[in-house]
Amino acid sequence: MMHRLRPRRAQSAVEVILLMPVVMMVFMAMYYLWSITFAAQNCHMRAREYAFHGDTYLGGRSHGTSGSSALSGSDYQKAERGLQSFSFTGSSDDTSIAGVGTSGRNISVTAYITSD
Amino acid sequence: MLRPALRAARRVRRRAGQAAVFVAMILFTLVILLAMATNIGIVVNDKIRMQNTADLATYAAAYSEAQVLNNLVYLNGIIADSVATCRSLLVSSSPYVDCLCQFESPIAEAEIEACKAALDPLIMAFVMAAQYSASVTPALERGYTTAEKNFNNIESQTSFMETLPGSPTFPTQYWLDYQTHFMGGGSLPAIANYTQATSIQVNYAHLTFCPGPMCSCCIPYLYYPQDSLNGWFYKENSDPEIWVEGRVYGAPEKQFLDIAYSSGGGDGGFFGASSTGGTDLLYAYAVAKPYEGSVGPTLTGNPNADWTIGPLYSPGPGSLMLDKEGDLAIIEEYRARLAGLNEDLQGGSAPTDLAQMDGAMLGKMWNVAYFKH
Repeated sequence: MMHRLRPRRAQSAVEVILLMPVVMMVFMAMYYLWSITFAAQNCHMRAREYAFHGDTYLGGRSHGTSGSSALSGSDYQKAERGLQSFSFTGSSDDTSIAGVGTSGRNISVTAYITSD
Repeated sequence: MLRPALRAARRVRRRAGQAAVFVAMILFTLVILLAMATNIGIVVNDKIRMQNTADLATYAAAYSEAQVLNNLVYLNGIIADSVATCRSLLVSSSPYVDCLCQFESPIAEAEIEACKAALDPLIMAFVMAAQYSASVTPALERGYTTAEKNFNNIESQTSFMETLPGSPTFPTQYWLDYQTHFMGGGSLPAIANYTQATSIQVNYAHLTFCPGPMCSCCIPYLYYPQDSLNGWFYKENSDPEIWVEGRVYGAPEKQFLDIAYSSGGGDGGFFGASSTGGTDLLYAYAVAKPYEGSVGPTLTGNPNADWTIGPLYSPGPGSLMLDKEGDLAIIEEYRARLAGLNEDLQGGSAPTDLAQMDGAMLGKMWNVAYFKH
């Protein structure tokens, strides 16, 4: 009787051990999703701020941004006379997504202020 | 003797699968957590996208209005230049000399008529550019274009409050009254309230000789005939009445946990955060304005806003040689800038939905003190 019961003593431990990778994968997936979300927010905000303020907002750090800004020097651009076409765009890339084996992943966002 | 052993074996048998139940529960919980993380990411992402879209679209509309306003400055300046040219012509030729023995000089009067004829198309050009359909309408269209460019299929869910009485973008909120010399006058919905200066003085000196006892043209008389022109446009207040308020709304693109999800919102599900009728919609507001320019002379309390430009013959009756250039200058420097909503609106809290925005002073009374920029 006792011999039949002994092998079941570590059953929970085995199950926990088996479960751990699954749990870890789930948490890593959550972290990965959080990273994507975080990177996406950064991209959106940087792109918008670049379209409005250019490098002024970014303090000279590019953060993968480029484009044309509504800000000229220390002031906003004077509007051209008479419904001219206009286009200010800010593009931002982010490769800082954390995760396992995810190097090279990139989020790219462009913000538009355009008449066309 | 066997009964205790059997009971023990049964107890053991009942525990079989116990851990599996826990595992299933934990897995289910983890999957829910994973779905929530994904869901929150989508909602936060879309909220930021919508706020960006509202900001960018509103700025685009304000920038377009700034373009219109700069054009109006330019056209107003041409009108002013034309008046200055007319005044200079009359002064440079003064005194007009003839033997007609009458108060007015036919030559000078003809020149004044020519001035009026030259001013009329310039006045109409200003009116055509300032009217709502040529100023605000295209500006809002550019705002819609920008919104659509930044967020797919959001154009129909974008508004610049143009249907809201009290809003600066409401079609009949502001009016432009105008009067030409030969082409009539009227009143049109416009980008802002402009009043026309309709008593711009011109004068000249007229030296005319009348018959005397010994001659037919020897008794001099000096007159200062004057006339008035319709000319430039001015505002009785400053420019802050011109604002653009943008609103963008929509449902997040995907909603894993919202069982009652409806793409149009209004299902009262998860994202409405209420079982009694949430909207499931994310809203974003933005306010922007053209600033730093001046379409025309602005002087509160002076209905004629007489703008001393070009010489008047002086001394002459009614000559207005006022030095008010500091107050009356026009500045072709319109730009656009985003503004923020004052947190003190509505007794300490910023508006959070359209009803509050509409019902607040923001929409009805349009007190710009509630904007910060």
